[in-house]
Amino acid sequence: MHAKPRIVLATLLVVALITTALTGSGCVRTGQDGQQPPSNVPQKGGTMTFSIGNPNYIDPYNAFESEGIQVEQVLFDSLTAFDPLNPDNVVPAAAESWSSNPDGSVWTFKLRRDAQFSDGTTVTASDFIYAWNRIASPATVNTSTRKRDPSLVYYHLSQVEGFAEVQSGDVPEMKGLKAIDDYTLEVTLSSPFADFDYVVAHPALAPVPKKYVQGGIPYKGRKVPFGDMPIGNGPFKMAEPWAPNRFIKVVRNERYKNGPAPYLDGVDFLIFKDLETAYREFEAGNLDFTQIGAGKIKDAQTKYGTSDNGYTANPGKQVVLGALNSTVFLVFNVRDESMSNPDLRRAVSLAINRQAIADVAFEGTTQPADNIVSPGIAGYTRGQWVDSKYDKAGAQAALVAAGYPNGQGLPTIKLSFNNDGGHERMMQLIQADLQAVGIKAEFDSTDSGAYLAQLDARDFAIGRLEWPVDYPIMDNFLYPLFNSKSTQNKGGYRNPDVDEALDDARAMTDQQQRIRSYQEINNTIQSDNPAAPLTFGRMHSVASSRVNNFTYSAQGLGDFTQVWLTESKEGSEEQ
Amino acid sequence: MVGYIGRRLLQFIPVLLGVTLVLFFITTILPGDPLTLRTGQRGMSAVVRLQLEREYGLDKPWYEQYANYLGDLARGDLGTSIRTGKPVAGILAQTLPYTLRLALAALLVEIFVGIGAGIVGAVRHRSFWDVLVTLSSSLMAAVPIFWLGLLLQYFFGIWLKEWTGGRFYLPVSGASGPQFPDIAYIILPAITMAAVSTALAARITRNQLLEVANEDYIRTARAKGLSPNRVLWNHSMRNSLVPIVTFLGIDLSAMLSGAVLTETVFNWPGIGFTVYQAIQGRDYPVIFGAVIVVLALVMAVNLAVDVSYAFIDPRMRMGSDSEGLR
Amino acid sequence: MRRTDDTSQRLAIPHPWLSAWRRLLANRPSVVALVFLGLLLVLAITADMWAPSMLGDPDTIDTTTVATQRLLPPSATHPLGTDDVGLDVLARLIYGARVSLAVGILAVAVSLAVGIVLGGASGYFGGFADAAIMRLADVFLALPFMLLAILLLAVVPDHSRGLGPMVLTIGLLGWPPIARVFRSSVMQVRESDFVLASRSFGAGPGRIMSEHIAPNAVVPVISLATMAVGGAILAESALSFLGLGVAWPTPSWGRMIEEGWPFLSTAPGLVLWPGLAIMSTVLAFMVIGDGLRQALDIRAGE
Repeated sequence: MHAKPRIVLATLLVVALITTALTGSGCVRTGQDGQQPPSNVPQKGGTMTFSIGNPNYIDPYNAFESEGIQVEQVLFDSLTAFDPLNPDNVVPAAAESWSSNPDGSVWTFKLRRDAQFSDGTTVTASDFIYAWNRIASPATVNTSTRKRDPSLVYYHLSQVEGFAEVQSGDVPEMKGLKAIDDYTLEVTLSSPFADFDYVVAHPALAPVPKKYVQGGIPYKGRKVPFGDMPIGNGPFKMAEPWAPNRFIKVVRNERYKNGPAPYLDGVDFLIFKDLETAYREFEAGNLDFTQIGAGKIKDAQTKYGTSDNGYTANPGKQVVLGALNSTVFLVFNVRDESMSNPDLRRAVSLAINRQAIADVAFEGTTQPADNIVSPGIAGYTRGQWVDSKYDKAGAQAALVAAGYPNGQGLPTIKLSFNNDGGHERMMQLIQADLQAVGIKAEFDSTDSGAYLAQLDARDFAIGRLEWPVDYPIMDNFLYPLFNSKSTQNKGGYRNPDVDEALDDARAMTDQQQRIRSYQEINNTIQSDNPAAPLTFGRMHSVASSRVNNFTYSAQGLGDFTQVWLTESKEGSEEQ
Repeated sequence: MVGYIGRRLLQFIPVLLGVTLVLFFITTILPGDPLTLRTGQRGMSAVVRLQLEREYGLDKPWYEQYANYLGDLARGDLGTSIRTGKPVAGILAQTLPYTLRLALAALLVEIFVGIGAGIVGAVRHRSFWDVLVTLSSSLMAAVPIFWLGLLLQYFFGIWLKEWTGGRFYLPVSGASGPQFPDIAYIILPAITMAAVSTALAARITRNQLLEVANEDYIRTARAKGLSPNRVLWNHSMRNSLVPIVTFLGIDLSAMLSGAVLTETVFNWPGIGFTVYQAIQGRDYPVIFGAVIVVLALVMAVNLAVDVSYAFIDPRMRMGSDSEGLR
Repeated sequence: MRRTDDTSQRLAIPHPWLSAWRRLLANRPSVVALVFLGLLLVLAITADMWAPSMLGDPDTIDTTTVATQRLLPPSATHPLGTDDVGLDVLARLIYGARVSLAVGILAVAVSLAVGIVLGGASGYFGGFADAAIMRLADVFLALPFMLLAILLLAVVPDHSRGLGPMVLTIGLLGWPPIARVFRSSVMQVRESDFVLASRSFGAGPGRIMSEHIAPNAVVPVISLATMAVGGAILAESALSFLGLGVAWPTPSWGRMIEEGWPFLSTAPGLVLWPGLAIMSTVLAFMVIGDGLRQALDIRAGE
């Protein structure tokens, strides 16, 4: 009599174990070597709480700040997407396939036929065309403030044919965008760009429904501006209008077809004015993901364990410290009287003890930079910028070559940076290092507004910058920073060979060949020392113990489609 | 009385003009501009910049901008934040209540602790308590308040938490959260903001009561056989109120305009923190709006203090000018 | 931040400075404060002769040793430990005294210059001049001090941020209380017998002001100004805390607190010591100011 239930129980257990093993091993596919398979079955349900700063925009047309993009990317899918753990890949999203002509100047994207906005209307090529023209037009109105508020991320589209005409206000639509049919979008570029499929993965380039942008969203008998409660085609949708300074609630979009349905019922983006408060809330058990407060990284690693691959958080391995796709560097104004001397630039670069900077900032978790390209990018080569290392004797020799033995005859050099970003310590260390080889340097810091204006006016000798890439490709470091025509080339570096090679590389459709070419260009650039890489950006965030398989990518974006929640062991849900 | 209030309100106008003019002048010499800050280092095209400049009237000379600003102000429009594109009035409506709440909490601390200690010091003249009140009030007047705030954070947020094994401590950052009731968040900032004033209030109350104690009418009251308590509350306190209320008034103004330090240390989302950020972001409309609102509040408090004299001390009712009352 | 002393407006009658000095020395707290400030001044002035060799350079970072030399606890070589870039905290405290004392005293000198001229004119001439100057003082008192100071200092690029901008900002915003006290004291002295007498002998306003009124009317201002030095030191530390102080690498107490803030839980001394330094210095000026008020007050002397 008692035997039967026991057999049933045993069978159930075995089935459960097998299921666990199968789904567990299924997850290893996306991870890297050595990652432990998560120990339990993905569970549906639960709401994850995620801390962000107060965003200015969650409307894709102006998705430029990290806070806004974090929310916007769960509400919208662009044509393609960055693979969170594998930077070599762009993966399908709203487009199921795409191709380009042989030189990468005409691109054809095939949209999924079953894709819908969260209200049920079909996503068509014209929704992309409308969204992209909205970004390019200088007359675009912010739906929330009803003021003219042109997009600041128009530069993503600057290569589309007809962009300049739209920017100057002559015509309303870019002639390079064509809807061949409802599900085929053809994009003609004014110059070839073989990495354009990375560009269109940017969250800002998502389709928007014209009807709601212009007419607002009906909600509880009133019309909410699109910018406060956007309707998109992403895995989640807005549950209610954005509550400024408080929270943004999103729930699973049941109509989502572009990828697997998320396990989560929803995500609460809780808005915090400052990091410290957010981290305190996390420690009290009220948050599932946040940045770690100043001076607490080591402590958090002991308490919560560190992620194996640096990006994916699982219970007991909750702290993510992966490298972000960004590089902090000094830019030299090559038009400056002193800094036009390449040997002097080399001396400065060799004089800087980057390990000391890494040790003092972020408790030694940052990594000294040995390349302008960050390690998460396909084509990164360790130590490619040969002068990006601490070599005091080498710096002194370079000073001799520059004609200033021990700094004699060299005027005081100004170190420019913004004084509202907490960069003082880093700059003080650099100043001390320069002093040690005989280069006298003084600070010339103002707040970011004045500083950026100063860089644009080339009224500086050495400036501090951080470059977080928009798309994880080498081109997005080299082209904007070192092409002589780029507005991001603050130091005025001009090398006709580099300019030409960069344009040529953009027309190479073979990825391996293209990457090799970028590596050669990078080598030419580094030999001129137009900049001195300092450190690579690094995330320092932590997930709660109930969060499974949450990947926070090198682009600084959370992947909310693969994560699932288990009941917290400490029972931190009680209030 | 009504005429007096009206005259005082009219006096606000030249002060407002003067202050806004000074602010506008400063902004013309400040380096940096809000639009550059808005985009960060990626910059913006000349076309986009032109559109935004036109939208915010930044393409006009500063005196024209000033005239436009005054025109809008006269219609009650505080303008739009250049950095976020949101109305300044809305931003202030969100942050001002936090500062007011904080200032009122601080004022309560000041009234109960400060005046209370002052009374104890005067009643128990030359006792241990009196010495304590006198000493601690001199000490507190010399404390940098941002430092006091940090020390409170250390003792009540960090040290106490470790000492009680995490059972009891106070929040040290922000104004609300699911972890504590809202009231817990205001405790440390309110104490910080009130500290210096509480010390001064104690000293003034004590000295005032002691001075009044020697006046003839108090001696008479005592001679009539009134209980010491009645003498204290009905006679001494009443006659000491004018300088105390004056001080509280000055102090509330000082708190409103000095809120930036306390709010920065505690990440309190009030008006001081907002202005500080707006100054760093060169968000002129927000700076102007906040300064004007703080100024109006300060003026209102001063006026309220002056009017209150009439009720505290009938002899002053006909005082035609504020001179000598501050 | 700016408060006039509640009892400073007393009738001033001329009396010998010497007896006032004697009365000040009889006041024990004032003597302690004087000795403290004297010591601090000597330490600050002579620092170059002994501090770098005994404690280490207060402002040169050695990046090759920073990883091992940072955030050290107190020891024989570093009596108060080291900060997060390996600099000796005690050495920086002593050098920081230079900035605090210099800004405090110079800023009040500026306030005094403006306050005495405007307050004197206001009190001596009365009428329209008086009304205009006092309204101006009202506007200055109504302005939110910290915000205006932040705005003014934001104009100054930091490589040229020496003592000057800080002194001028605090000094120019701090004149109204001094002007008010000097004005009322001028008004009282103006009506005193000896002034009326010298006027009847035909002395002009300039001469009466400089020879008779000013020396006597300035008495209540002396104690107020001494206390204002304390206030100016507090203001300097607050502005330095907000990152608007004298440029790196010059150590200042407010900046030390700002730099130590992130290490509050691991190295609270980085915040504690500079705060104590500010507090004791400000307290010393306030105590001396109070002692001066009593010593100069004829009623207290009898």
